[in-house]
Amino acid sequence: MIRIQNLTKSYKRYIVHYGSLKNFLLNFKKFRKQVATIDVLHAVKNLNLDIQSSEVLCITGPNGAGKSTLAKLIAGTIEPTSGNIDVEGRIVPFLELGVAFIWELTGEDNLYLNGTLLGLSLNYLKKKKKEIFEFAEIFDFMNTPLKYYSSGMQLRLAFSIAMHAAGDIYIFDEILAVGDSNFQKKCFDAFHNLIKTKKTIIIVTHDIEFIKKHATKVLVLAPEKHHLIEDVSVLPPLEDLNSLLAFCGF
Amino acid sequence: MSFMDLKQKYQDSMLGFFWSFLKPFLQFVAYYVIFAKILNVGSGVNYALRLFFGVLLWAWFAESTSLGFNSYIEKRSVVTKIKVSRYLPPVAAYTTQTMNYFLNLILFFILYVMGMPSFPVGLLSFYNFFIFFMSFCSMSLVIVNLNIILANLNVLYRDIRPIWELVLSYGIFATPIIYHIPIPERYQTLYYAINLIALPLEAMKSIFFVEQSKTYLLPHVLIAYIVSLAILILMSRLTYKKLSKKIIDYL
Repeated sequence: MIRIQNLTKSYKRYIVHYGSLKNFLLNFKKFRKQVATIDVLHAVKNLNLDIQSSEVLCITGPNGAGKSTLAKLIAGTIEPTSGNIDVEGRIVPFLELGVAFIWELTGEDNLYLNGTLLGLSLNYLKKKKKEIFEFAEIFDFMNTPLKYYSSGMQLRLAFSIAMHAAGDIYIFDEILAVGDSNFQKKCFDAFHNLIKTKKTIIIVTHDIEFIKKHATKVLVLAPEKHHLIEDVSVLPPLEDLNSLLAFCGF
Repeated sequence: MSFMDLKQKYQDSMLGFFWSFLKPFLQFVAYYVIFAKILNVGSGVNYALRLFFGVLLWAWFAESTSLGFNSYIEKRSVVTKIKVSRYLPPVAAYTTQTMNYFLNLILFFILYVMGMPSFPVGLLSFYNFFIFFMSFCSMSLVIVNLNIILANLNVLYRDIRPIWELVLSYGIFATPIIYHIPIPERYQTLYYAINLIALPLEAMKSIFFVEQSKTYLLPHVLIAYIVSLAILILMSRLTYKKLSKKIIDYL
């Protein structure tokens, strides 16, 4: 379960460039005044939300509405400016795949590195090694340095590692399937399996069809505004994101 | 992470780990030729071995902190995309270099056994093991806490890099490695409180070389060192508490 209370994440719109240390020391007071007047952008503002276990929360909205920021906040990679996020369970983030990969090392080494960073034990990874490489369809390349992998192979390995991370909460930032059509089908099957096994899923998406099909709750974000749809059955037939935004009164 | 960093460092390298030994060794040769042979500053019994040991420990400190201050920037993708403890990158920088220099220490022992005409009495005593362990722990604490402070500050102020490079360039000459530094007695407390590497380095040297003075036995020096180390740990805690949440937005 995830409980979000009064969550706000703000960024300053720009930074004051001091130029040089001499300039900074000579104009210290002026710079302090300038910093105090910088306009603040609220990527997420005063959000309250409960996500129960086995729910599928879809976060949608136009570009720049704060969807990825919220996903990162829940994943714990960035800190809120104010408010709290209480998480019960282990989170597996699919925010960006293969972030810790080292190109010089083999696929197997990268499995251990990426897996341990996702919180998996070395023993578990050794046990699941074959399964992970077979899922990624690159079993023969286990001992090949990652720099010789195609970009599709790298993504498949990263996706496979994250899919085997055995978490309670999965956060997808528009990455639901990678690779060719066959592998994409495999990814969707794995995703459906997560739903079947009652995992909590948070997904950032622009796909209205996907929302209608899978969401149990929808959070629609617009700059400095949000609207939570707790019962998706109340949604009228929607054509695209604009019609959803209009339904929310944005 | 440390193990993989080390593996990556020597991947496709002909000499592999030997590079980590060769680098301080060449540095030692340069210092030895200049200071012992040309300037005649470094002298005394077992000077070459003492110098080599000092250079190895300094290289451990210098490379650990050099890797440490840049650790958040270097591991940007990890700290901004995966929820990991923000202690991880600066601590991993320390463990990577510690694994590296631990192997160097074995090579030093081989040279020590081959090069020493006679070993100090009680070399393998419990007391010496204790002093070695405490010195190693205090140097490790200095490195880890400096890494935490520098890594956090370096994200916000990129001036840290040239400043720290200057500290490392000149620091070796202000540390009892190449020559004995004749610190007047009234400044001893201040010196060992500021240079937190000097005391553990001398303590470790005193285990292997009888001619090395045991400064750590002076109570005022030891107390000043402990107080200074405690201040460093406190500063590191405060820096981490204040900046570690903020830096992600700047990476």
